[in-house]
Amino acid sequence: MLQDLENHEEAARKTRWKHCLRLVAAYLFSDVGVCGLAVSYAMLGALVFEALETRHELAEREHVRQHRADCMRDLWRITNKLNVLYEANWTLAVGGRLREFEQTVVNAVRNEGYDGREVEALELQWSFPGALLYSLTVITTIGYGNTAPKTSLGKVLTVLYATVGIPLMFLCLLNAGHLFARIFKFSYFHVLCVQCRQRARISKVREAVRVMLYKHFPGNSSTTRNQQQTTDGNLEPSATSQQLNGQVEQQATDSDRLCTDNEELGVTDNLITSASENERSTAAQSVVSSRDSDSSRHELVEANDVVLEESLTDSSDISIESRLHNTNSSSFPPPFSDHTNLDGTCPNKEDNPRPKEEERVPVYVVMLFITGYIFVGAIMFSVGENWNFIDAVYFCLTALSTVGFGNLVPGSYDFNTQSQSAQTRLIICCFYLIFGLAVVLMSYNLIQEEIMLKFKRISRNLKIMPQNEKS
Amino acid sequence: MALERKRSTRRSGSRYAGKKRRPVNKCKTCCRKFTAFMFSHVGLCGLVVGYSIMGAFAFRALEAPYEEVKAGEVTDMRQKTVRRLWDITYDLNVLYKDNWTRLVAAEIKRFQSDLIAAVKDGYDGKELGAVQQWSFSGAFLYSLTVITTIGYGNIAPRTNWGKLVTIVYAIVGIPLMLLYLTNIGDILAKSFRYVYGRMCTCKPSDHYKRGRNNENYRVQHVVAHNSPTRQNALDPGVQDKVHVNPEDEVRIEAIPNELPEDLDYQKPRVSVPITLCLVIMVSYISGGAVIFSLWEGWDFLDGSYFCFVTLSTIGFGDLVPGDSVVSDRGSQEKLVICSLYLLIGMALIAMCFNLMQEEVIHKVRNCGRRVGIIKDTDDEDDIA
Repeated sequence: MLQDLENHEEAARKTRWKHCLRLVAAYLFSDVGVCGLAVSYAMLGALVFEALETRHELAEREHVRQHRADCMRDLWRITNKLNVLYEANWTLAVGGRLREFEQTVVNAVRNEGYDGREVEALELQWSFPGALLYSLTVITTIGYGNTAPKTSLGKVLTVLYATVGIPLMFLCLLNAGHLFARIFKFSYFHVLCVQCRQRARISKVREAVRVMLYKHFPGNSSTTRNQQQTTDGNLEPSATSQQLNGQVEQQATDSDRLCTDNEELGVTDNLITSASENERSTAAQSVVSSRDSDSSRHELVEANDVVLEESLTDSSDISIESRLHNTNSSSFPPPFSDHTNLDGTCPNKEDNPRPKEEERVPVYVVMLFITGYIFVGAIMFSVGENWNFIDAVYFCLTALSTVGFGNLVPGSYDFNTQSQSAQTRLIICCFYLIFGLAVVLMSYNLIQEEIMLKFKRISRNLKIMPQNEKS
Repeated sequence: MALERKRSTRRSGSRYAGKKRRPVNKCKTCCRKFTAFMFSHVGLCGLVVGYSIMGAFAFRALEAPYEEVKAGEVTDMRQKTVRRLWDITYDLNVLYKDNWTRLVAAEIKRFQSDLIAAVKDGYDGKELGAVQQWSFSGAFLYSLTVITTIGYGNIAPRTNWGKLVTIVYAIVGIPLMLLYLTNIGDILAKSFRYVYGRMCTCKPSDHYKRGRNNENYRVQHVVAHNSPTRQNALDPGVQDKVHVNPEDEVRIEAIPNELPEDLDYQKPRVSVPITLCLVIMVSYISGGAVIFSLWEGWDFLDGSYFCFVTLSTIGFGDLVPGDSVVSDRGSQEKLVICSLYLLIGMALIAMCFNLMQEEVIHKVRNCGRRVGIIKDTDDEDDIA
């Protein structure tokens, strides 16, 4: 019996451990987890590569100094040997020796990664920020190459590091791009584009009214349709009424949200919000068998739109108005009353959940954003690195498209300026690259549907694709 | 038999409609057919190569003069240094080693700094008049590295015009390259699957084993027979789950021969194992490594490092065939071979990705389900 209890306890502990592990794994592979994983992977790579390559870099500096010393010793020997100094002889010999020296220096720079710093210089190419930039260029496949591994172990590790890191970084950037896309859409539709909001509201009111009118007064067959619908039971009408409910509730939500500002559509909003307070009303000619407050709201909306727009040319308009006036005259509030509830607060947004935005951000906005990001980066780098503006734009574009030539890299040693703050510039470059790539993926996320639609339309126009192929 | 297609008659009917077409319409249809061909597979391949060649011409015209100027500058600098050294030597009437050494050291150091700046600006150590970096094959390789986003950087534009043209060239070329890769990957994957399926029909045991596994099996064409309400066929296509009534008799039909070809039926999809794709990639990289290390005098590690870095589009540029300090004979051919290796390699990788993606997603999902990360909601309504 005791043994049974022990076994039971151990089994319970094991399941608890498994559950823990499962939670950890689930968290790691969630969105945040992947991003954190990628960042820590980059830092781990930075540490490893820094440990591997620093020695070689210092050794290379020593080699170049040695070559220089050898060159000078040879020059002295040449000078000393010739007892009589003939210019032509001496010049020839010295020129040849200098040419050899030049080859060694060029080889050191191009093949061994020498960057021109002296032995005494404190800053290294393979410092932690430099190695971090290197790791990032590997796993984002930018691949500058100004800092590149020269030891065999470094090269093998680079291959393995890239095999694991490139998919990981790609996932992380996808997630980040998705998140940025959501933020961008939200801020565009609800903050930036005032026109969108108003247009959305007007179009939804119109749509609700039109559906309502068509349902109630479709023209010739109005009476028969009504009879049919009533005999069919509650299914169809309530379905459409729910649709309308949703639309009008959305209207209520939108208006409630903006209950502290603009009163241009004040009359509509008034009627809608005040209609929500009217629990009871005597709805005339309602096809909706469920007689709740929503039906009165529909008719009020409808009447209001007729009053506002006067664009409907249906002959039964006047009959609507008159009928509604007869039945609901008491419930028309004065035009510019307060939007808010009776107790003076804005209605709670959480009651009516907002439906998903089906609209897409226009392509030119996204393009404008990317161009802005590139220009900001270009300005930053041209000021920080003393490049001219075209160089900075060229750098930003080649970095963000992951081409990554590597002849212009921020934080690299420049002879002309001999600046010392390379570490901070490297870190800034890392951040710019990561955010820039996330922005690129975000824009791809936002515009891919548009581009695919346009492409299909163009190809259908050109009759490249068969016409009966559905998109 | 519930299959009836009337599409062929419809199509032939339209052909008789426009018998007498005006030349303008003919021209339009010609143009349309031409663009359709251009965006078809062969045309796309030729478009990419043509775009690279055009880029090669453009960049060569823009950058080769500057390269000559730069080489001339370094030669000038060296000769000036020699002259200054001579002046130092000449001015000192009595040669003391320490004095002379000190003065000469400063001079050499300055020479080195200027030289390194020149190298970073594109000087490659070759003499004036020798084979240039921006030869035609070099510029061709450069254009390829731009549009494949490899971006070596050993050759890079130094003039402002070159940089601007690079930007525009990349904006147009990178999507073109992506289109090419997806197309080529598609075709290669299809043909590889076909060949693999053909080879696999020799072993029928695999087929049955695959059939028993519910998740891999794809119902291509389900015809429900002998049921009073449903005599129609479901749409052909790739469907994971099919719901049928228990009283219906479900029969999986093979593709009949008398159907017209344009209905685009899909044969049962052969899934190529992941290991085969990986073997293909690794062998291509190793093959390239052997070739390049033999030519360039690299060791095998350097060769495979170069091939991996190139094919993953990282592209450091520290090791590039045909680009050594001492001017080499035959470097132009090496550059061309490198470009070809690049193009074929990227197409192969696109094919392998295409072949592997379903399997990988499937396996990852299985793994996740087993670990418990992903909820298995769609296990309940599988066909038993």
